[in-house]
Amino acid sequence: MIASTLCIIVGIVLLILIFAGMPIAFATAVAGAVGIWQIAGWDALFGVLKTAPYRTGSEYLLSTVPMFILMAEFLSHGRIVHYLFEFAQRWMGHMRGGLAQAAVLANVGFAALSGSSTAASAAMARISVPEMQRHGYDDRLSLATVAIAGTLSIMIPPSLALIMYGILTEVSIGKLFLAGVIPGIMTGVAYMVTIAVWVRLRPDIAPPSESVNWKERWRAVFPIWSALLLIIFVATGIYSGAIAATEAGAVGALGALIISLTHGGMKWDGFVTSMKATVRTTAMIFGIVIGATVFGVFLAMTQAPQTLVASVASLSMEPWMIFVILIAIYVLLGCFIDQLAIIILTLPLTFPLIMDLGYDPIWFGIILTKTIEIGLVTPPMGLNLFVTVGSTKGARMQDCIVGIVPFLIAEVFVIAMLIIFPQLSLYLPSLLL
Amino acid sequence: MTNGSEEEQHPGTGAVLSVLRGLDKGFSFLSCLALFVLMLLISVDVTGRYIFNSPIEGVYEIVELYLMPTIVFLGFGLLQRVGGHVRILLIFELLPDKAKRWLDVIFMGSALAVFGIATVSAGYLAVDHLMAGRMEGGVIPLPLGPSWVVVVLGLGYFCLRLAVQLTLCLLGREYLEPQEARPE
Repeated sequence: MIASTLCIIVGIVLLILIFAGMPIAFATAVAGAVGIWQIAGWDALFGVLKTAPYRTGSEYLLSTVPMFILMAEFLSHGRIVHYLFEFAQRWMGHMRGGLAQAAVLANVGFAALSGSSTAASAAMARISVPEMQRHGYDDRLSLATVAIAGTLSIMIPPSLALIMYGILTEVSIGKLFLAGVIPGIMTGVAYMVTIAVWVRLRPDIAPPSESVNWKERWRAVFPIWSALLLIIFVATGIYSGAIAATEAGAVGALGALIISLTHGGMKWDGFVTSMKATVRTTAMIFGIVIGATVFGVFLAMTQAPQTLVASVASLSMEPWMIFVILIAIYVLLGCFIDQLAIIILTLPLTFPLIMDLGYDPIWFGIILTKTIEIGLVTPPMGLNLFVTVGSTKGARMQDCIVGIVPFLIAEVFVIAMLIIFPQLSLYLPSLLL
Repeated sequence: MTNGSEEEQHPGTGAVLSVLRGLDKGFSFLSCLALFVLMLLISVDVTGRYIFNSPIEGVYEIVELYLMPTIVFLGFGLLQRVGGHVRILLIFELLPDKAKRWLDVIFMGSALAVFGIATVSAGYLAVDHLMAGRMEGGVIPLPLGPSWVVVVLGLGYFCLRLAVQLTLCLLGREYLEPQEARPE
């Protein structure tokens, strides 16, 4: 069978398996194994299956992944999210819609500490949604704000998505982190503007809250000093090049543990649960990476990436049109497939194509991450919607979905800005050169 | 849970499930320990390098050879126990129970075949490395065999979990265990 035909057949089988409900890690491994067996026989298949899991699972650089997950788990089990929200609430709570604004601001702070959007949404939902409900906020506003603000963790460094992108494409993780700063802040501001416009148009959804005096506001700064110190340490360590991303993750996790144990209120139960949750999430991610590695070997055997690049080059389309189509596909995929899985599965095909079209790999990483951010809150598979609703007593999914619409409009605006003005992503990394 | 109640809940397979539960605890402890050591080791290495100008030698090798395989591969079975792998259930959830069960049998069976081959192949290599006493690592040479043994243990345990779940699924019984709740 011709390699390209086999590649198409196996690709279709893979999609059928994934959409039929097979775990993505299994589907990629099985489809890849069948493909390798078809194209190169049993010996080659045994050779790949013998070494691929070990090589992937023992990769030093990939130890960055469990370290940043652990950091997020420790912080989400402590009270630091509570302190961040309290700080933001005292400074912004008196405004109309101020509690929702505070949830966004607190998420910006948590995003700078954690790379996990689900950890952010779960922790913030438990703290901020009841507070907003107590003040008479409409559930559509409160739930959607927490779900969307949780996605900031995927863009604002340290970001798990950017770490995976950097590892898979060999782009500097430090530069990717720097590139994510302005888009992350832009996104946070866009959410705050959306809330401001929404409550101006519909004042009844967010009644005004009581104001606190300046003394109370400054008092709220004290409990978050350790978090600010950790953010500064991890960020300057990576950006200055003094420590590698893996090292920053490990030191960050240790710092998060100390903060959560000393004045974060984390108990032994929380510590054990954090460790176990990290092991499970790590195994889940590595399962996908190992499956994708097997499938990647099959793709390499069929020379599919080269064929795709040559096929696209033969089309009489402008590069920007191909890019926009690709981004639309990523947004669509994000509605159905887990975000990290999309990165791991598609990059072997799309990254060479993007490089061939002459686009900047750092910029593409940021745009890709932005599409992932959108995928986290788009039904039917928007993970943050489920996490937020699941973490809030009595919350209804339909309220969260309806409420997310204005934020998605803001997301489209931000991604358009990032595509039209690449310097928004590339300015800070250029300072490193 | 005692062995008796396990046997009552799952007649015929209770003993196997008890063994798996014991393995769960052991592997969970080892993988969490490896995770903790990874965090400490790298942090101490960084601190030593920048404050005392004296890094720990061989950290890179220890992480690659022992800690990462322990975290990753011993975690696979723990994840499979609760069915924690990422999957798209949009269409799957719409299917009748019988179809779901048969699909799960196909999914687990095919995964068992692929990862079974990986386990057996890695097992041969592990024995080979142990017998030859091969070493790896630049600064401090470390034995390669134990690293592969961890991989084989982890993959083997994962395959055993798959096989038991596949059997329970074929017998029409519940095969996934609930995830632990988060402490308040």
